[in-house]
Amino acid sequence: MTSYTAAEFISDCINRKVNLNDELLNYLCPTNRERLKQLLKRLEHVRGLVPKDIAAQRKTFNKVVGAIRAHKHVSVASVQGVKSTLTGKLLERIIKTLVDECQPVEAITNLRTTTAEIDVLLQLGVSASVVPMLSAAGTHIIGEAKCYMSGFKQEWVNELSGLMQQHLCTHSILFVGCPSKVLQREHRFGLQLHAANGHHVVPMGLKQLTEVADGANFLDVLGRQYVDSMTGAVSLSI
Amino acid sequence: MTQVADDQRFRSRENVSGDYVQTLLNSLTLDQIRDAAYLLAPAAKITIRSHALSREGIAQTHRSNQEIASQLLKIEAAQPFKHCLFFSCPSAVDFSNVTKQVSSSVAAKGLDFRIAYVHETDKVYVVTFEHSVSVKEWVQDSNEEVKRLTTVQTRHPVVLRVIKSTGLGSLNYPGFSQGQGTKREHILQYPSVLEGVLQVVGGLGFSPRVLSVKESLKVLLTGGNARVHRFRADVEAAGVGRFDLASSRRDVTVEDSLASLLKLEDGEGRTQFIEAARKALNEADTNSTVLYWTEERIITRLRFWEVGCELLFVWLGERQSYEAVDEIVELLAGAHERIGPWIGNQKNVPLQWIASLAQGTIVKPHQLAEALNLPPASARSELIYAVKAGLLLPVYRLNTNELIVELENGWTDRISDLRRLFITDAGQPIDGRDPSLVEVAFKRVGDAGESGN
Repeated sequence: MTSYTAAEFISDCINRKVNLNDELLNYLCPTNRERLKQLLKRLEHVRGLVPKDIAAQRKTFNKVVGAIRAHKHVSVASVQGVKSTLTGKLLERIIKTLVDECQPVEAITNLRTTTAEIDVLLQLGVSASVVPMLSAAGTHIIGEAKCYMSGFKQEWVNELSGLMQQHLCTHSILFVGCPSKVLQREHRFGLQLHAANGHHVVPMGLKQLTEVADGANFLDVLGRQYVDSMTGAVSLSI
Repeated sequence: MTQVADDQRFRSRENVSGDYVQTLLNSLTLDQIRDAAYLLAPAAKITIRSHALSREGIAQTHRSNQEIASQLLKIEAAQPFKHCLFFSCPSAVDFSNVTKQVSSSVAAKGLDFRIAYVHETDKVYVVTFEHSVSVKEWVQDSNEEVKRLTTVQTRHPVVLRVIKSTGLGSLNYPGFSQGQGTKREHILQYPSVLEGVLQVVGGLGFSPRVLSVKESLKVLLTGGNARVHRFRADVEAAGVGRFDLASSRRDVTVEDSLASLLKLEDGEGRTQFIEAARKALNEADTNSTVLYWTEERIITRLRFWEVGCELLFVWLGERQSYEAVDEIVELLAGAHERIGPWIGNQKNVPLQWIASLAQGTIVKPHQLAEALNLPPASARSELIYAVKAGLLLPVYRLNTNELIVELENGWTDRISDLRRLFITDAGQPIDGRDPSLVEVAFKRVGDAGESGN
């Protein structure tokens, strides 16, 4: 008597449009939560650093040698540049940690194509159909990371929509590092407008990353954020 | 409902004669009105601070009354109301005929139903009907010694939604109150209004059919259920009496509360009592029942009328969405499809067979197929529906009969525990990360509280 395997069960659930429970989603897409928490803490620490204070600390006088101590990055602008680079790298690592052992999804970061550089390309496997968003996306999703402290900007969505057109992509994820908040009306309707034109942009912010770090499944959080974006839900937040 | 703001009385859904836009504004929430203002004029940055100022605010969009009304109706139809009557609509419909009838009125059951709005997407047909409801209230006169009977007309919308893929339809409506001054014999009953709307819906080509889910719901509530449970019931048993039972917590079933009332200790006695109470409530004649849906975290009160089953949604702070409504309606309709045609002779019905399993029983697809002489694919389909309906929980183990050194390899609902490399006692590796090496069976769920999440 042949056994009924988990692979067949997942396939049957996809065909019958039955949502998988958290247990099965965690099996397909586990996340190293300790690592994620560490990275989020590090990101918070780096963003809390003040370039002006750091630059001032580095302008110290070495009395023995009789000169200002040499340091690679002494000016405020230079320190700010290092901070921005570190912040970007941390966000990239966070994104990789989310999908590292995720069976349905494989992440490729900093991909240079003929027309642009993509922050992250998520290639979708066969079992990606377990999540409605991934099922609708086809073979790949592109991701863009914006780690600015300023609020959510509609320009990021417009830019990403353009990038999606160039790369024949219908779905994308916009990872944002700005402070968590409920999205304003114009942003919600902006996302819906792009969706109506076939370009689905799903915003994911610190709120969603913290949810995953606290135990929620990444695919489940992504699925809920996708539905909220498509329906323009008043509660859509980052 | 009345609300005073800026010296003007605002009555919910009041029909303002000669100003349809104001009537619609009275029907929407402030957030919805603000959304409409934004969509009509995104660049204008209009601020609307209260309902009383909404007419003035919406006028700043400088759009025609027709455009404003159309936008307001579109927004109204996008969010579910409290009440929902569902049915099936098996036949295809020529929606262009329906579109031609916008703004026309049809009389049915003594009421005039106006077709206010129609919309079609690739997934759903939407039609908004509206009719007038007379509200009579006693209003204090200025001298405070006299009350006058005041009559106001209010607008009552009924939104028809038909999902193309499933053929399921629903009538969604906010409900109404006719005020203390309305005589009992003049009160409009919801079943009567809905019967009128269904006649109009039938006339548009939709062919609605009643779905009697009372009996199939009883099957879902037989034994434990991880998806939905009853926490209030109003039942009657012939020759015995009428009982209105409610649990104080929505995560505790009525049967469990009864057992606690009788101070039954945990154990076989309590389990047997709960089983007996559940069976008795299922067999009694149900006037209404209140269910708690564990995934959506919302409550629905079900009433069973001749026109069909009506749901009253209590959202408990959760986001109101048609996704949640459709999920629940599909589940109930799915149970009816599986049980309904065999009412009275359910012995060989797979869902009934599954529901009657003892708590904790493990069943594999081939066992169901053999027991009821089903093709393997049908057996799997029935088991997966039963998982969706909360009757079964998937359980897993590694797909091998060999002994494994660090694992008992019994059935577990925690598949993530199998997600690593194991070695059998013969030295063969077996990778639990490969889902084709993990076997699945299904366990009959116990009482409320046991779930896969």
